[in-house]
Amino acid sequence: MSTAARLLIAVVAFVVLAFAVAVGATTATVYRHGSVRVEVEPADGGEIRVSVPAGLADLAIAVMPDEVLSEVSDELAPYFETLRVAGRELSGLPDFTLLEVRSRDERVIIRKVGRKLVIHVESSNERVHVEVPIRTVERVATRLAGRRFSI
Amino acid sequence: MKRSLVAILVLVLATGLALADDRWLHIRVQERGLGDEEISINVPLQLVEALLPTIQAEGLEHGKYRWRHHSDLDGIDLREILAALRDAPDAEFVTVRSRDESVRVAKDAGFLLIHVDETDGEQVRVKMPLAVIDAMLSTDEDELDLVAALRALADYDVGDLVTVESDDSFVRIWIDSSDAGE
Repeated sequence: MSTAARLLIAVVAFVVLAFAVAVGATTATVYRHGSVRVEVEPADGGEIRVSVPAGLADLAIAVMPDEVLSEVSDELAPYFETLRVAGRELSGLPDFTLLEVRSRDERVIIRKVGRKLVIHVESSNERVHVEVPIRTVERVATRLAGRRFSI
Repeated sequence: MKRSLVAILVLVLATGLALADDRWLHIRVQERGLGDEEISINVPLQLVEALLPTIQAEGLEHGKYRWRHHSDLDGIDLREILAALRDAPDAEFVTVRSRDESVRVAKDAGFLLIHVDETDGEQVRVKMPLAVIDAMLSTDEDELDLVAALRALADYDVGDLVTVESDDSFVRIWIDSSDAGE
């Protein structure tokens, strides 16, 4: 086998390995932390669908500039403990509808479904559907509080 | 003062806590009019019990309300009033009739009843077990223990705790064992 062929095989093997590691890491992250799902459907057409591993929230906090983090943390500081406790307590509760608002032109529902908090809004303008793992709420609050004190 | 007392009572009820694992606090608001809006809130008391001590607000800390913070209550010993209510025999304590409203505060068969009827048609009804007052008073002199009060409240199936009805809206607060409150 020629040197060029060996080099090509090595490159291909490396790419395949890197891809497998990336897929494995993503799968593990999604399995462990779940994923945040956002769907927006405006009434005038179009559609936005985003589904990202909730574990990326940790990364987002880690790379957030200190000044932005400081602003966000200061604003949320009074609620860190409440968010942490809410996350912990919600996890152990059965599924239920926390809030439902119905009017002539809008419907809003916030439900606890499994390990997720599901927010669904339907109005004459758009339909919005958000799913957030409850553990993510708790973890983000903990991380933000931790970063706040380390700035 | 009347408004302050009602506000505190509603705060106790609405922040709801109490905590038998299967008890739920329900709030329904119906707005009649252009939007015909209907709001439905269902909260496990277990969750509220856990959250209440984490909420820091004016006068509210660790699930206890420091009533002396309330400027409307200057010169009034709220604990003394509540203790007197608790210890008094069944009776109608307060009856106020004015051009705009009529207010009635009574104690009846272990419950504190507050009825407010305004001439514009608004009606407020509050029904609170006196055991809740006992629980509220089970702390320091300047505080009302909301967590203990709501725990006591969870033991009762009294139907509606608070209703507020007017021409264009209806509010209902109650506790039961159903997660949907139907």
